[in-house]
Amino acid sequence: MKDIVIPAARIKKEIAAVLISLIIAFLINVYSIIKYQTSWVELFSQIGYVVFIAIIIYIISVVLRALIYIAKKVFVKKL
Amino acid sequence: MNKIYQSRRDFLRNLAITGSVATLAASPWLGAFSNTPFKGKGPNDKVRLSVIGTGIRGRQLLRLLFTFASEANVTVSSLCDNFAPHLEEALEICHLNGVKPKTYTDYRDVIEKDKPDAVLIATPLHEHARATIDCFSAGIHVFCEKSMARTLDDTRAMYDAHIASNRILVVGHQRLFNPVYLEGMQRIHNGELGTIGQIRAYWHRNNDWRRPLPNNDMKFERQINWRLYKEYSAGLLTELMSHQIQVANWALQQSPVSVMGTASIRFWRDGREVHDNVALIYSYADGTKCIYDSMISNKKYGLEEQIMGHLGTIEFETNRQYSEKDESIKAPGIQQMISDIENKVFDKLPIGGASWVPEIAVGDQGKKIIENDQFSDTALQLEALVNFIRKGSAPEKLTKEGYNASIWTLLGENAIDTGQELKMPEKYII
Repeated sequence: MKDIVIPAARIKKEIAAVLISLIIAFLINVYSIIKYQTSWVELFSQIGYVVFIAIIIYIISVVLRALIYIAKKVFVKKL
Repeated sequence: MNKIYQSRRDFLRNLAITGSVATLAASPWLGAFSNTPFKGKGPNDKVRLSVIGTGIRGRQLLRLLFTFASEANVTVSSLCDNFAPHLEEALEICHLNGVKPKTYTDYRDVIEKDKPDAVLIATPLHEHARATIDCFSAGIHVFCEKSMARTLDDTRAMYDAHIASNRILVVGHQRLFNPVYLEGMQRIHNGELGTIGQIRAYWHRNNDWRRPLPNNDMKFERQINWRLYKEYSAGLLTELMSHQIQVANWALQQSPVSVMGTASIRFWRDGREVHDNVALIYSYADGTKCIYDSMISNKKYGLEEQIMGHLGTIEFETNRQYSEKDESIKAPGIQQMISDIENKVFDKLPIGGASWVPEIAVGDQGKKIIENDQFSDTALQLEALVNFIRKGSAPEKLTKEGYNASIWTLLGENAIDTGQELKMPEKYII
């Protein structure tokens, strides 16, 4: 079986994407606490929702990047 | 199983513990037990009561009377009914409680021979006025079941006789003595519900409202099922609504200015003359409306009086107060936001062609008005009656509440019969 080699640059890129997704989800939680005047304890108690939203954002980013990659390929071939 | 009710003493003790005494202090009920002098009968003198009309309600009054009779130094001196089985059953209740009252078949014998301190009148509605006025003429105090009388003129005559004789007239609107109502009314009058815009009241049952006839003998039909015939009763209006229009007037601290209504015999088409399905709107001078309906072919919603202000709602029969603010436990902010986003997405979906979003009811689950509601308001009212007799007078406000509720009940019947919006004729204003 052939080994799949993920370059270090790719791993760094994906870790960065996950971290950015987590930060965005965290900020959404902060915004909702302020907007709905609920308790700051939710910064920790709602961590499950934050992780869930982060995963959604990350998946969206993966899909977007894939679309961009495909579009680039098609565009480059035509050129 | 019979409910175990709190005694007056226990009830007052509980009020003191919960701190509700202050809010109830102004109530006519506690006023009856205040330390004002006894101008009627001394505390050591036995109060003699007679029950005129020993049907289901009369016997219920009798049973409740015996729950406090010895403590309050009260006795039942006589019973009166022209229907022998009812009289015998009432006599049996008295015997079980060690009391041997005289029995009569004509209320005039109660007045002339027994001469009680007060009578409890629980006869069919059309007989209230004659018996009440004759008792007043003989100097006897009267507790009269609601509604006061079958006609507007009889109702007025009863009130006039009460004033002329200076005798006590207590009408059987027991909610006036119900601590849930006393506390709730205090809150309404203090403005806790804000501006009351509407009162909704209803009384729904699902039965034919008939009582069984002895041996199914139709000769007793009108005597036993008098509530079904217009000659004796206005049906759901005088027997049920009378209570609730009294509550509405009490909550708003005013009487209506007009009433309109409609009614039908929709389901129980069995020869009865009174409606089994009624709907009325009472209007008040400040614009408040009391919307009333009663039916006896569906009981999903049961019985309620809903006092609806811009800050909250009280539902008396279920002992609950609700806030217009959603005081239910808040969902976490992030969940609320997700929910709002979902709502925004799906609310845009057209329903039935047009863009339409249903109004969502306030989610507040409400709070009990008072915690311990195990009491019989009728027993409390009867206890108060005994104390009024000892004091020689009762608050006139109570009598006026009963009078106005009775008059507006009958005006409701007239509005239905004529199909017009009616105001109170000058001659019935007190």
